[in-house]
Amino acid sequence: MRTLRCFALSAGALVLAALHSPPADAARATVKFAGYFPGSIVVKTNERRLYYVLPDGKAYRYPVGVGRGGKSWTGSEYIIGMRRNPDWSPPAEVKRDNPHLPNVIKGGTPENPMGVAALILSGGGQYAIHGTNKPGSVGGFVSYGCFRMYNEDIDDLFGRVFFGTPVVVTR
Amino acid sequence: MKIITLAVVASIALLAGGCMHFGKAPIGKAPVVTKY
Repeated sequence: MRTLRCFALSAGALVLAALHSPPADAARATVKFAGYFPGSIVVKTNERRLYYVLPDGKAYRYPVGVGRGGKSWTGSEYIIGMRRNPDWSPPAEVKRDNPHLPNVIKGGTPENPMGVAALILSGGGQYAIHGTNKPGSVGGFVSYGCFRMYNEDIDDLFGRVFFGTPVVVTR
Repeated sequence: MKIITLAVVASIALLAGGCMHFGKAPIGKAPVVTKY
């Protein structure tokens, strides 16, 4: 009886640990990477990965959520805005699809989809690389075209980039 | 010669510092209006 109780408790602990631990690929990884200028960001949407290019033929690789069907895009942009815990307002397209959304969601609240930081991209400023309030969606085809990172990852990337950092988005 | 070297190093440091300072984000208040 005691053994059975012990087994049940251990199994419960394992299930809880699995539910609460971050996904295995949440952490930044260093990989070989060539063909882009050091200091630039490259997003490969088919891989659902973002690369921050390092000077020695390597890059930091992060998992990202990318645009779902019909919302994906490619191109060369650059960072035009950097904000930590920004308030967020849904643009017209998002508001139309989600009319229940408030006009402004305060930064740092659990409802705010930007998470802890946002890097706003050129090309009209409609897309951003940002954190998330739904970490389970990172790594999927989930967004309106923005790039969704784990909050710890966008926090790490935020400290490495500047206004004007090039961002190349490819398939 | 030493003075020239020092002046060059100081100029580069100042320039780099300035770039880093002005390259960083200001603290903004307006909400961002991006997709997500």
